[in-house]
Amino acid sequence: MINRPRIVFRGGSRTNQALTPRRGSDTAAPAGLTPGLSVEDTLKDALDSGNKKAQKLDLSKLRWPLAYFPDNPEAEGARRGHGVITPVDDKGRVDLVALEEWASCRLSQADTPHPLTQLIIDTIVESDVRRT
Amino acid sequence: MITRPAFYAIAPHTGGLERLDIDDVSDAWSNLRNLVQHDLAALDGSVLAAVPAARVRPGSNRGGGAHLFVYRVYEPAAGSSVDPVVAGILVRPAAGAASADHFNVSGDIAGESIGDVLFELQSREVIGWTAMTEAARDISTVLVRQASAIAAALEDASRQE
Repeated sequence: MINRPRIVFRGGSRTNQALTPRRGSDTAAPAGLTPGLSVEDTLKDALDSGNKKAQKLDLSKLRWPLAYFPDNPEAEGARRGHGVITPVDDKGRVDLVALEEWASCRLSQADTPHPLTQLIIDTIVESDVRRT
Repeated sequence: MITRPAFYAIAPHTGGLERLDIDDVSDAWSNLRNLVQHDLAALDGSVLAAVPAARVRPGSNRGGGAHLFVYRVYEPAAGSSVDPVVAGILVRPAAGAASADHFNVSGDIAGESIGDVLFELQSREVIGWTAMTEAARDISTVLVRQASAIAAALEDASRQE
């Protein structure tokens, strides 16, 4: 199977911390939604307003155990064009233990990103994308 | 005993960056990282003098189309929800480069989570390691003059992460 490019955007800088989920806000989600690292379908949504930048990610480069989940449109609080990248087990179910472990390392990365953060970095196809 | 999850065994993806697999070249990137980090550290004194409760978090990464991203993050006082500020230098292959030593070097100061660009320099395209190192250090020299912009951003309550 050929993985076609599927582009999403993560607002902010490409530091190890900015590409790692936060404990709490990213490790728990309202009913019907999936916890994980937030990404947006469009650059416009990732940048919000003003002179900002984002990282452009190609989901076809995403490797196990990470997977992308778009918001369930029927869940309360879901946003069209919003999704998360999160670790899954070998059956494709969200691995909350791995997600918590990943998030717990958010502030302890210096020159060696957490392995899952490195997988996120590896999906970047364009750094510091700006509104044209 | 610490049991590490299986994904710790995953090797980082280095497609397109095979040149980095050569030990001595990898050492060169490490040396460049240390050099730039040392240069950027000149920001610390001025930022901390202006915002004594601020904290500094240095870091770097590679991959995702970049040879090297070196940065220093300035965090506001503990408990503040103001977005941290990143002073960073990015070295990547020049667009359409025919040779492995054709680099694009850029630097800016921006919010870590919200990505607001506070200061930026025009990126430079250079050929060769010496020119690339000089470009990175030149950009560092300009960035370290922006301590007041970093301090102001750390105290700007409208910059919520």
